[in-house]
Amino acid sequence: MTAVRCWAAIADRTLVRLYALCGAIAAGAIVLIAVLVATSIIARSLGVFVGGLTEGAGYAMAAAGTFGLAYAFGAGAHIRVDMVLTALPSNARRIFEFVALAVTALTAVCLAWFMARMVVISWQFGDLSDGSDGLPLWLPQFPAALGFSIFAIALIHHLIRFWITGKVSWQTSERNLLGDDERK
Amino acid sequence: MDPGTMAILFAVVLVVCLAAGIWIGTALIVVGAFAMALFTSRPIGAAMATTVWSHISLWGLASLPLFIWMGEILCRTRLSENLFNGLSPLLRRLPGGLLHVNVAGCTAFSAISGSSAATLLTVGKITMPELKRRGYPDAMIVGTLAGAGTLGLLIPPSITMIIYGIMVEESIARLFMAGLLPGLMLAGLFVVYNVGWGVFTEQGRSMREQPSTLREKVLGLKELLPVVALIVGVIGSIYSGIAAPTEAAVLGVGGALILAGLQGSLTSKTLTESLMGTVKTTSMITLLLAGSAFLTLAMGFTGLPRALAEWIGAMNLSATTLIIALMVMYMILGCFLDGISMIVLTIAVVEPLVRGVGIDMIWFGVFVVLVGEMALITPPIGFNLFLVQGMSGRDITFISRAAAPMFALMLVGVVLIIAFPQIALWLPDVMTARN
Repeated sequence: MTAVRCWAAIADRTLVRLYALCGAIAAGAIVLIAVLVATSIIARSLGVFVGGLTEGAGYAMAAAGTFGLAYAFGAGAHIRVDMVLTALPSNARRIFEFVALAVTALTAVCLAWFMARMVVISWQFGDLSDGSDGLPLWLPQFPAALGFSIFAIALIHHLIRFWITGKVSWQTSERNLLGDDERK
Repeated sequence: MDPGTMAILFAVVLVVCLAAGIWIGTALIVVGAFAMALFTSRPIGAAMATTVWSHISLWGLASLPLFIWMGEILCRTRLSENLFNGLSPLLRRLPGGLLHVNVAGCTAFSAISGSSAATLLTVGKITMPELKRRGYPDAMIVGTLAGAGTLGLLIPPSITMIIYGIMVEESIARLFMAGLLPGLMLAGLFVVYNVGWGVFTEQGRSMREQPSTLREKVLGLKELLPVVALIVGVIGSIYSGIAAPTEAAVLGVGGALILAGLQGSLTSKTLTESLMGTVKTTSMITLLLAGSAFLTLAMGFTGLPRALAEWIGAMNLSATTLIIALMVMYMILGCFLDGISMIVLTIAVVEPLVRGVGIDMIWFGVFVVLVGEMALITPPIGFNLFLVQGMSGRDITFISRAAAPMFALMLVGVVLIIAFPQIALWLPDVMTARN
């Protein structure tokens, strides 16, 4: 029993680190957007055309938005209506929390699965981007599918934690809103 | 199934999903999948993946994390102190005194941060203790702050406007132009209210501030200069057509970094914090957009929006009647949802209706954002009211009552833009004609 518990704790910590790492990758992608757009401004003012910068910024946007999903969930940044939940007595609330989290996790798993399938299809058919970048489409699609997959893993992880501990393991919105550096 | 029953069915499923506490982005996907499974034989998964991908990888969307990042950087500088020190010598002689600093500070800050909550928190943190110390009544401090704090949604660059523009495929630059005058008009209404308080109430008349010396004014202007330069640079480059919003956003990030660097508040800690804050907001919006894009597609397959538009068309409703009906709907939604969620939730069905009766989508963007703002301070449930409650420590009834006049003024603002659509449309028309 203790061995199982030990492994579970290690897995738990590793996953939390993975989400933080993905958050850092997302931050890198945001910096990349700024660099790509800045490059296109400079190139345009010099009268040079550099292909693929526009598409690149869009791809970086997709990577930034999806890689941060799991991290943002842990930080309580995703929004929902919790007016009904907070009004419930604590026993009923626990059941409702679990169902809401389970449905959200299931949806995320479906989304991740179909995104992954789209990448495979793009790869098999050798789809190319319509833009001036001419990249094979699976290349920029892959990070987005990966980001959604890690989001799905994170939700299942939070679901298991909730099942075991009976407590929510993401930061709740109340704490966020009153914190000085938190934004809605 | 007739469109009425269909609409009620989807609305019920959506309300159940949301009330159950399912996160909004995924709740939209659930409703979309439900609609497609019931009314079409198309493969749901493939449609979902391609729509989500094409909506989250847009170049225009890239302006969003950049503007958020700009705001995150500036929130960590002494910008709000600068605003207070700079605006105070210029405005305090007016009847209403330093309360104008609350309004003008929120207006200027919201122009650069694009977020209502950030505006309220950062400006309020500086002005609230100072105004209290000077003996201004709590009701006026809290009321003006809660009201003016909502301006962040309307005055460009606005995050909500970017999302709206992407969803309805209208020019974000034009939306930014359309939001400016209504935003300033609202700020003007708040100023008039302050002046009225300063002139017509006993308490207000007793609160006259010392006139400022020329030296103070000049020093104040010096503190305001960097902020004003940044606002004019970012918004001006969009208005003049030199830069697309995404490009202007990069200029804004650059300017914010330079400003923070000059003030010495750019450390690796604040830089990391600002980036991670940006990641959170960006991902939150990405999930909403993914859900909304799929819901819009699914609704299109069921044919509901078109059927509803025809149904409304057959009733020969005037545009004004439709707008008033929508206003009531959004005000109810606004008690439970923030402005962005309200838009992503309803746009699939509302867009065809509004286009159907010939309403300009740029004008409608200003309208929706304005009503969303108003919902933030709808007594007694409003997001900004809760924020101010947390900051001031007063109970929600007191805050609702203090914000009620501001709510009334915003209602006047909405009526004005319905009666005179040119308040929103004049600037984009003039600017676009010239370019």
